[in-house]
Order: sequence, then structure tokens, then C-alpha cells
Amino acid sequence: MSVAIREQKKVGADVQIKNLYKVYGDIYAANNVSLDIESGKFITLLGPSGSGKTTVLMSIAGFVEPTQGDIQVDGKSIVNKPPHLRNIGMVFQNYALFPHMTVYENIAFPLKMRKFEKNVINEKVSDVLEMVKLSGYESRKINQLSGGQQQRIALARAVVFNPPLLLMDEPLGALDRKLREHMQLELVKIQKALGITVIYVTHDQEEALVMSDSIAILDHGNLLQEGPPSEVYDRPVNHFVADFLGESNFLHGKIDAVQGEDVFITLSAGQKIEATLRGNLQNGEPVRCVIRPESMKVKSKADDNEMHITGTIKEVIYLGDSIKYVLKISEDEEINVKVLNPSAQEQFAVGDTVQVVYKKENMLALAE
Amino acid sequence: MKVARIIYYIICGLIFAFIAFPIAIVFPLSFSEVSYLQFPPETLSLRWFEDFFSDPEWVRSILLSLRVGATTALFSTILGVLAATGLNRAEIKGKEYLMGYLISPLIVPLVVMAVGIYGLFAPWGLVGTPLGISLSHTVRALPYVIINVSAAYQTLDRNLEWAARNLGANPLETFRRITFPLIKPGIIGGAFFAFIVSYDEIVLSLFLSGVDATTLPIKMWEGIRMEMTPIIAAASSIIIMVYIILFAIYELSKIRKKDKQVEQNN
Repeated sequence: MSVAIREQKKVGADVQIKNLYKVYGDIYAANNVSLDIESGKFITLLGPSGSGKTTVLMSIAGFVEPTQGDIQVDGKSIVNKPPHLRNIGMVFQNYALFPHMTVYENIAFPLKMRKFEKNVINEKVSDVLEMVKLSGYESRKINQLSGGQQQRIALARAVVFNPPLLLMDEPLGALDRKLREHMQLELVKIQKALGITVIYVTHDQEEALVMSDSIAILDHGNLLQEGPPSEVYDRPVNHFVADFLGESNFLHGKIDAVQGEDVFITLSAGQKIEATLRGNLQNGEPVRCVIRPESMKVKSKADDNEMHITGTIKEVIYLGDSIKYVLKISEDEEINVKVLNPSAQEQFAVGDTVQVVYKKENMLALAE
Repeated sequence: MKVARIIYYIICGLIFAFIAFPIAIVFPLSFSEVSYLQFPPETLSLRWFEDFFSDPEWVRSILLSLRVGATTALFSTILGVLAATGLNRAEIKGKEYLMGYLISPLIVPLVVMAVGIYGLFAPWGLVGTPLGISLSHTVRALPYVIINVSAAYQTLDRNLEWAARNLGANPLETFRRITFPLIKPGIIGGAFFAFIVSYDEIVLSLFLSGVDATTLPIKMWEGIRMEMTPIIAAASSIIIMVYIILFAIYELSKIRKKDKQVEQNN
């Protein structure tokens, strides 16, 4: 880490979004969204198109006026401040680099607006170019840069004036896969070095899992769940979240009994299973259980203390580092099981009858 | 199908010839020696150009046309940029109708407009003045500027202005540093159009001209009715040459810009 970065270390802002609404006619682009973001954290707003994530981001930036609600940065409300006075860094989806200016002029722009002196500007520009590994690019024109380089210049321009908060709107979307994966790690590295708070928008759940300290999942303007990646992945609060992140199996059934967190369920084809309760459910209610393919095992015979479901192998899909079994557990229900390190385990073929072994804490009972 | 090809070329050729015909006639005519319109000219001379530039009335008219053209370009560019900015950036209900209204001078019959403007300007003492002519030309030229600048706005990425605002530029600074440089080609194109519309304009000018305010097209029109000498052709040739020079400047400036970019890319 260069000396320049250490000297620039700024404390990131605390951000609070309080009951944010944005209504267009009948449509709730943002429906009572509330979030508490700690200083220095990397939080991702994750969701499909139209989920409201960009609406929330643009409200923070000041380009969308909330219908109702408040946004506070370091305890002070910013909703009445025009965008040019909010002192927030932003990286747009298509970078929005000024085409009629050089790299230097682009990066110097926010400093010029803040009336910094020429020699200070020179120093800050070259420091930030070093940080994004593009030293010496000052006099290049924007149209001479590759996509990845433009992306890094956009980032440099957004952080050169040391804002306490950085907003990013799907900044890696236009990059090819390898570069994107590399940049994901680079961005997090830079963020941690600067100590800046980052609010990141994406529809790519893998990206969110890799980069974030916390993920907030949105759908149709509603905030469904917020928490660290492991929590949102292992303990999804409803089907949308379970389905959106990673792969899920859904099993339909009816509740026989509820004891605290344990639920006893009869599946539609008659199998009896045990699950963990996630939601308000009563006896007799229909239920959908969620379990991830990688949290189950396939065995020819289950041990006495292991919970299991009987199934027949319908398909075997070899994925290199894993094998995916598609199993029929009833007339019209199938589940997927992903087995890692397949060569070290029993292998099965199409048509075999097997036991799918699972753990209660991975079988989540969610309301239908 | 070779025959179809040939017919196609002939038709295209005829169309091109038809379009170029007036210009092709006028140029040689202006160099003719004799004092009547003889085509093709038998002997060549520059006497008509000499006559043109030594006649104070002709010279005055061409100077007036240049002056009115420049004034029209100035007025319509300023108003046009303001209008286009409002139409493309402000939240106004019924924007399309407003745009239609501002562009209507393109479809309103010129004579109708001229009579109306005459009736309005007469009591104000603007008839027969260069200012009066410039103002009427501005109305006629404004739609061209609005269309040109609006087109520039359409191709301008909105995110660039948002980025500038986000980075600390207030709306005025954003316009000055980001929007204006990027719509400049549209503005210049609009200004050129406005000048050409004015320089060429006869209907409005006829209604609003006076003894002290005679534009070149009017002088030519009077000339044709009274004396059919090749001096008219000389005047036409001068107009054509002015246009050629203007377009040459415009195109050359675009080429130089491209060369600069190529240099920097290497």
C-alpha cells in the first residue's frame, strides 16, 4: 500500500435510509425502504430489474426526489440538498466520463469544483491514478481507453475528493467475465484501504456474495431481507430470497405439528420430513420448504439418525468439480442435489434408488 | 440486368442535372461579355463583376444582406439554444405542443406571415429598417436552430450532466463546462442554417424592405424586372461563392478536428 493511500484514510459515513417511498402514479418504485449502514461497510442492493435498487441509489445521489421518507448521512438529512452539494462519490453504469476532456481533466473536475489549488490537484490526481494502477495516463483522451481502464478512471474520479460515501450503479456490467471477477476483488481492496462506505447496486447475486459485508435484497420496491452474505444465503426469509440467491429446491407439503423452531411436515407425496421454522406458520397450513442442493448428500442407505427422503436418480450432470443429481422423489416432484468432490464418494447412475440425506437446520419451512 | 442499371443511372443523372441546372447556367452567364443573357456565353469577361462592385447600390445591398444575416444568426441562435434547452431539459407539461408551436414558422405560408409581420411592425416604425428585416428573418430561422440543437441534446448522454452535478458542479457550471461544449456542433450548425435562411430570404424581405433597407435578393428581384443584364448572374454567382466558402470553412474545421484526434490516438 502506498503512503498516499494511508494519508488519505478517511472515516466513511454512517448512512440511514428511513421509510423511503417513491411513487410514480400507481407504481411503488420504493416501498417503505429502511436501511442502517455503518461507516466503512460495503453494502449491496441486490435485486432484479425494477426492484427499486436504482431508485434508492438515485435518491441518495439526489437525482430522484423521494415521495416520502428521509435519508441521513452522518446524522444529517440530505434530502433537501441539491446533488452538487451532497459530497457523495458516484460511479455510473456507463462510467459517464466526459468525452471532451482528458483523463487528467476528468479526475481533476471535482477538485476544480471545490476550488483546490493547481499543485494540490496535480498531487491528488497522480496519487489516485497510482491507486487504480493507471499512472501516466493523464493526457489520454477518454475514447482511447479500454472498457476496464475507463471503469478505473471513473472510480478514480469518484474518490479523488475523499467523499465519505461512494455509490456504484452496476459498474462492472460491461466488462468481460475474467476482468469483472478481478475488478470485484480490486474494488473491495480499494474500499477497505480508503475506509469509505460503499453502496453498490447489482442484479448479479454472485457479485453481491463475493464483495459485500451486507446484502439488502429488493423486489418490486420492497426490502425483503438484509444481512451478511452467509445469513441471507443460508437463512433466506422467503421464497424470493431463497430463489434469487444461489439454487434452491422447493418442496410442497402441509404442516402436521409445530414445536418451537421444529416443524413436522407431510409432503404432497406423503413423505414425512422435519424442518426449521422460518416464518409464522400454524398446524394444517400449506408450506413450501427450501433446501439448497449442496447441503444434501446422496447415499445408498441412510444411517439411523439421519433424516432422509427416498428418490430415484433421473439425471446425472457432471460439472467438473461437482456432480449434480436430478432426483424424482414423487410422481411430479424433483430435487437437485449437488455433490462436491465426487471422486471421493459413492457414485450413482440413472435409475438407482437412493436416500437423500439432509439436516433439519438446512430444511427451511417458509409460508406458502 | 444491365438495361435496368443504365436506365437507373440515366434517371439519377437527369435528377442531378435538374438540381444543378440553375447554378450551372448562372455561373457561365456571369462571365459573359454581352449585355444580354446569352447562353452559352461567346466571349468571357469580368465586366459584370466590375459593374457589381463599383455600383454603390449593389454593394450596399450585399453588405446589408451580410449584416442582416449575421444579426439573424445571432438572435436565432441565442433564442434557439434557450428554447432547445428548455424543451429538452425542463419538466413542462405539453412540451410537444410547445415545440410544435415554435417550429410552426416552417409550415406557415410565408406571405401570410409577411402580411402579419408588416401589420405589426408598421405602427412601430420597423418597416424599411434592417432591424425589422432581421427580426422577421429570426422568426423564420428559429425553427432550424431549435431542431439542430435539439438533435444535439438527443445524442447527449444525460448521465454526463448528472455526473457533473454529482461531482460538485451547479446547474450553470454544468451547462458551461459539460453541456455547452458537447452541443456546440449543433449550435454552430444551427447558426449556419440561420444565416443561410436569412441571406436567401425574399418574401419577408420584400414586405419589410425600404429605400434604406434593400437586401441582395430584393435588389436582384428588382434588377430582373427592370434590367435583364448579366449583372444579376454576377450577383447570383457571388451568393453561391459565399455559400461555398461557408461550407468549406465548416467542413474543413471538422476535418481538422478529426486529424487532431487521429494524431492523439497514435
